[in-house]
Amino acid sequence: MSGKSKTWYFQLSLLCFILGLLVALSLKTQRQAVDEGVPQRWPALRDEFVRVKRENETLQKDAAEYKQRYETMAKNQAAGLSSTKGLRDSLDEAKLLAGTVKVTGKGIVVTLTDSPKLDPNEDRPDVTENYMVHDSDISNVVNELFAAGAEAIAVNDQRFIASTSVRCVGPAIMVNSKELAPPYIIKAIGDPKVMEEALHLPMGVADGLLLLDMIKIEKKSDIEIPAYNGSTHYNYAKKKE
Amino acid sequence: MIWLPVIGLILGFSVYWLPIHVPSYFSPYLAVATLAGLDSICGGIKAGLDSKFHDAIFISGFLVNTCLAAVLAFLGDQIGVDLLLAAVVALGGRIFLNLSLIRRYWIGRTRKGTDGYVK
Repeated sequence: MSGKSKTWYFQLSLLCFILGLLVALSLKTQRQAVDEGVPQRWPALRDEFVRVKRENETLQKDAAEYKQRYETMAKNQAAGLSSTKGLRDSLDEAKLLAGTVKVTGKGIVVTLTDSPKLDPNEDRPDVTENYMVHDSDISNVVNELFAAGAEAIAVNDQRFIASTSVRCVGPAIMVNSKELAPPYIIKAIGDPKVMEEALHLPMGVADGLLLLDMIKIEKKSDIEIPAYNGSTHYNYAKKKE
Repeated sequence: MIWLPVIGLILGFSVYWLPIHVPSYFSPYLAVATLAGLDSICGGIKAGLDSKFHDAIFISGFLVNTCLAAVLAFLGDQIGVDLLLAAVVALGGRIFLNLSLIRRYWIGRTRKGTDGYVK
């Protein structure tokens, strides 16, 4: 091998070294660029969300249990004193009104579902929208039921109380800040006949829903409605003497 | 002897595992520099096989090509035309051309025992 050939090899090797360097660096930066495409906070935020949700669920269970224990304790204590009977009765009445106790009675069960009449090939959002249950449908039905004398109402076991909100968050409907999944089952205790007729009023809330098979109304002789299990603590409103 | 360039390549690549971070902004420049390097190596091998290898041309070719590609990439970024593609097409074409010549040379040597190309 001649001398010239040797320098050729050495220089080629040097350039190969540089090429290797460049390949490595460009590979690295490319990988980095792909990684940067997804903000690194997203997975962490999702995990955090799931964790907090779980924690919330367990805490809620605990709270319900404590409330139950408190009720029985208060009842036991009051049982010993006849003078507290009047107080206890008015307390029970107030709880019934506030919706913090489980109640049973006759009433109706209204089931709202997305319309089965939607053409599966339909993809115009302004049309498909009309075939879906909205938060407004739920509030309209609940409103009509209260107007017809319903004494207790719950949607998917979320009890309606004075501060209950119904709103739509993306694809989900939230009641009492809890996400509900369809079908939406509205249970109402009251006079079944009156409530059913109220829903069937001409031009009433159920008119359009009935047309699209989105609503089902059943009269029941025995309905159980759970207590409101969220927070009842008020920060701002104070009683005025 | 043939292993020296390969060892150099591996040595160079080992920088991948070093804690060096290049801003991803430089990603296209590095890519085009890689291409220029590949082109120079193919050209160098071809020149070496032709016994026309000239070290100044070899090294300066690599440097100038890399710089020109980088300048084109930068200019393209500024005026909103992907001028980088011009470098990619030119360098890529030359890589293929040189590779085909190298291939012909090796095949010619093994088939006929001569130093010439298969025509």
